[in-house]
Amino acid sequence: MSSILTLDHVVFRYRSEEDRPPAVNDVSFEIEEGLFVALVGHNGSGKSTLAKLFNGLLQPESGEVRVMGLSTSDPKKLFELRKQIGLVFQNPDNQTVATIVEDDVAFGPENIGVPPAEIEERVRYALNAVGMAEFRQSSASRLSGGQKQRIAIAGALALHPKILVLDESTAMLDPRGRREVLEVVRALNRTDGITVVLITHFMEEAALADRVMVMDDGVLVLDGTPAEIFAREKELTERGLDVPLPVKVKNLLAEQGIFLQGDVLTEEELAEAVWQYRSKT
Amino acid sequence: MAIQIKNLSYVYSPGTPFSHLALDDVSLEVPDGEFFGIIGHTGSGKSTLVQHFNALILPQKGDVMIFGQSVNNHRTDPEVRREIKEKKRSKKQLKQDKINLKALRRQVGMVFQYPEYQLFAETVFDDVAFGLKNFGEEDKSPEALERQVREALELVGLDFDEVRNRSPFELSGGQKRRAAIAGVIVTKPKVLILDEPTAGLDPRGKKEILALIHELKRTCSPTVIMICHDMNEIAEHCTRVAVLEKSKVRFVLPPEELFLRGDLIEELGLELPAPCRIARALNKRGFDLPENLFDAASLSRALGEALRRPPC
Repeated sequence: MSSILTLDHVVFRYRSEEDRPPAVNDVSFEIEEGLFVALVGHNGSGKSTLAKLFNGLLQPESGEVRVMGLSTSDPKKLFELRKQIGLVFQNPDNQTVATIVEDDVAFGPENIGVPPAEIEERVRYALNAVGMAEFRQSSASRLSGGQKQRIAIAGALALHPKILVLDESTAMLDPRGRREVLEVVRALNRTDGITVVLITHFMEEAALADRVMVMDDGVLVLDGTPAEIFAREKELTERGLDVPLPVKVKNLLAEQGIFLQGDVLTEEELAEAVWQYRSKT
Repeated sequence: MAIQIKNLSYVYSPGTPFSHLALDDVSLEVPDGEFFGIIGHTGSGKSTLVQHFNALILPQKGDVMIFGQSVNNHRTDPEVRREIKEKKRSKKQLKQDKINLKALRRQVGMVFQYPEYQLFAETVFDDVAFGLKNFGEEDKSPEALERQVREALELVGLDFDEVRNRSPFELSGGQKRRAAIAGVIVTKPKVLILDEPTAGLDPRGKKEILALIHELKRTCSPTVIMICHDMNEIAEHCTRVAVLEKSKVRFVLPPEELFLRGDLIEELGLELPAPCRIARALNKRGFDLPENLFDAASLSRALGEALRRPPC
């Protein structure tokens, strides 16, 4: 499969931090189309800066960011490029532009000059995709946090992006809201083949990804499958992170001489592995 | 008794089409020295409830007592207004009441969600000192002010000399939150209320803030009330937990009893702490694990025992 998002030796420094090491320090990676990638790292490790570099909201000091082969440094291509990549941020209240849900979702396509008939089609598709079709005439301000985030995702989807980037979009939600948003994002990835970059502090969310990337002080320090990454409990803890609880339990059981078989990343996998272990002995 | 709530009800925008009953006949007691948790869905009334705890919202119906003192003579309800109109209650008396309210509020410190968004001053020192000035700190000598600000910053684990002249906006995320908390505890409230104190922090930041809360409870504010969506944090830290649902308090129980009622928690649409969920899933498949385990260590101990024991 081909790379849909490529970072090539990207360096970025905030103007107010010129005496400090760059916020993004020589980061290179490629993300294949259709992948679900989790990006983790402690507060201030450079994750959100990366997200803003992805669609040219920030420009690298050196190096290059390419989305589907288009460079973010090429002003002529920026408009085209931004249609391919939807960003959803943390605070649900900061991302609505219209009072009525369908107007809010239509804002993006209107802005890029989509014909009215097609806008309607796109809004319908986007609201269906996030399970909010029945709220199309509702007032955006009266929705719950999880619902507002799903509207924000719909707003991005109405542009038919190839990539969806969620920058801690579940951080301010309650457990139900988090579940709603995650389910929508996973479904979009699986059924519509949209590439997802999920920036998160919740290791349980990262465990669901195909690939986990770990940032620390502007540098990409670990990159692999969840099983590979979460096998390094000590290193992650040193970097201010954690492993999902099932992994912790598996490791603690190993210390007691009980070795569970297979990948144990989720609660279901842990329960299954424990049950298997007992059936065998 | 730190906080006592009796038959409290509250309606937003009463008499309009948007009228919304946020609290419905709520009664609750939080004794001194508790680490009290409040859980419930977004919109269940948690924030409205805690804003009554330091009289940011005055009761429309029912009573709120802070350390035995009622806030009710400050009610903005028609009854009081009529009393003033009929000259049964003088304006002077009302003014006096307001001063009392200030004294009450001083005893209950409120740390809102994402408190770092409320930092505003040019230096960390000014930001923290604002709390004192706002309460009309009686002892206004610069030395005393500095001593109190220093103490507050050191309590939250910031180096006074290093941060005092820095802009609060230059601090890191975790430091900002600490500075914001310093601005609340600088008045030495006896009760500390925190609304989602760990939201948006990375795993280490969460652990550090929770450790800080315990430290503050020990040294400064003996009673802590915490709103939290993370059931693992609630289970690990709280002595008792109130569950709000649809504007009512459904239960007040210690976590080890509350989370034994797994079916009920799920019925309310709330989550169980992850270790409880795993134990329950295994028990459904014939295991016999205790279902009130709250951390990886106790779950792995229980699993270890169960796995070493031959199945019967």
